[in-house]
Amino acid sequence: MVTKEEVMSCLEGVVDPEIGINIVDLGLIYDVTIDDDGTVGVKMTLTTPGCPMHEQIAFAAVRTLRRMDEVRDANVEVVWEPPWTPERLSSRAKVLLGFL
Amino acid sequence: MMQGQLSTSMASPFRVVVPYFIAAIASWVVLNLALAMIAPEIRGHYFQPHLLALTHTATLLWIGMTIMGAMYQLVPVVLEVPLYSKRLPVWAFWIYLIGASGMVVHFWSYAMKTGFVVSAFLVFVAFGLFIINISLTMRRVRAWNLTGLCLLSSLVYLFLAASLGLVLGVNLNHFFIRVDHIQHLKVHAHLAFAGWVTMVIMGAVYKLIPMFTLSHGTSTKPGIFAFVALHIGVIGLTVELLFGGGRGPLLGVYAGVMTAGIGAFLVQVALILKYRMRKAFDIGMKHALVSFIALIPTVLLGDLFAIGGTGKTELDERFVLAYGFLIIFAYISFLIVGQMYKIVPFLVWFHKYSDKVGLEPVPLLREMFSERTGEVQFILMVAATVSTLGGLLIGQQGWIIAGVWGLSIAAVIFAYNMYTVFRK
Repeated sequence: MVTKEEVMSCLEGVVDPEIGINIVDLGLIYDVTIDDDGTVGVKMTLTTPGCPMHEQIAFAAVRTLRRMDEVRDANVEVVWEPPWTPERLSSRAKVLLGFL
Repeated sequence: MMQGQLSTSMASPFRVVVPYFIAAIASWVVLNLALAMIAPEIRGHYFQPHLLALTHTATLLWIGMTIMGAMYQLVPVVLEVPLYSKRLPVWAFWIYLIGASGMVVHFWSYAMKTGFVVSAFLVFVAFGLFIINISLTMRRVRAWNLTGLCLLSSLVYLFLAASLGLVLGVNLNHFFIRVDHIQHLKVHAHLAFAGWVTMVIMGAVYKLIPMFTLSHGTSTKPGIFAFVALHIGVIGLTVELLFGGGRGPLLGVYAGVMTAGIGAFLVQVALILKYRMRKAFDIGMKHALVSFIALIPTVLLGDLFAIGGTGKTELDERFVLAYGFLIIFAYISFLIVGQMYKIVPFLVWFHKYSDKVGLEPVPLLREMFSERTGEVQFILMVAATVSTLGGLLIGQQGWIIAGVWGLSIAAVIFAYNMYTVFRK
């Protein structure tokens, strides 16, 4: 059965087309659940509401997860609470953004 | 299955908004090339046929097309409401293109007869369709924010500026009201630039700059102050220019309020940039920074005219031309060109690649055009703007000619870069 680590690793392949950094390093993933039947649920947020690019990011996450061998289905729920803050950025993202 | 409410589902279709941006980019090239052609004429009083024609090429075809395209795109996404009508913008585009082009052609030859009136009426109708569509779209908004209020306010100023422009245009050769045309022309320009365009810019900047720079947690108090002060300043100056003869002390007071509002807007921008996580400025942000900096001399020159100018006619005429150039080319156009580097790649990317995300590799937005070409265009545009502005201020025709030709080359490079986005 697929693990959370494998799911997160897979999601690192989903890149925000505007920022150029993957959604895991951006700190957009809030929670990952894996059912016994191999259905993956992802609770994620976006850096700001009302960004026109973000639906595509969520679509990319769903499609990327569905391509994993051990994943039967994938659901992505976009939530706004708690709101995303820059503290959620990984060290790698901060370096890429020029913050560190 | 994907869940959750996402703003992109509100986005306007590609075919609705793209024609506005294509027309705007083409107009930008035409505007700069035409300005270079008439460079020796850029002197004296601004009320000249060719300068009026080019001013309306800038305001209607370059700035107006961009703003309408951007608002058809931005309003549904930012305020999370679907566009009321997706068919109206398609009709409005052609009505507007024909009308605005007709106005420019008639201004150029100063043939202000029936053809001009029909053209002006078409522009007014197209603006009306735009205002009605956006207003009915906004009627469904449940959660208002500062961006939404700015964009809503801009519609009121657009209506007033367009109405006054139509009346003045018709009255030039079909006298039906006795008015001081030059004085009312100032009100028309004031409502258009300080009211309509600046409200749109403020609203867009408050939303887009934090989004592009990943800036969070910024106080919006300066932005709210700027919004209120700009309204007081624009309305006060309009009333004073129309009914106070345009010479009273209140003119200076309202200009001061407007200056405070613009100052607060710049403080808001500085705060957004201070708290940004994305430290490096990309090509879009570099253009925006020049626009913000250009606001300072623009406002100072405006204040100078509000307190009576320099008292020397020849100097005032030069400064008025410099003022107009600063507003159109430095403040507004740098921001538009910069945001085009964001909006156009997004629109094309969304159209061509949104079905492919997660299935195959797709380019980043910045890979949709050549950043290096953009840098060359940016540097040339800055140098050319400084040269033209310097030439206008000190009355050096050589600097002006060099500057406007530099702007033309920069405009062609920019248009080529945008063309490559569509070819990607």
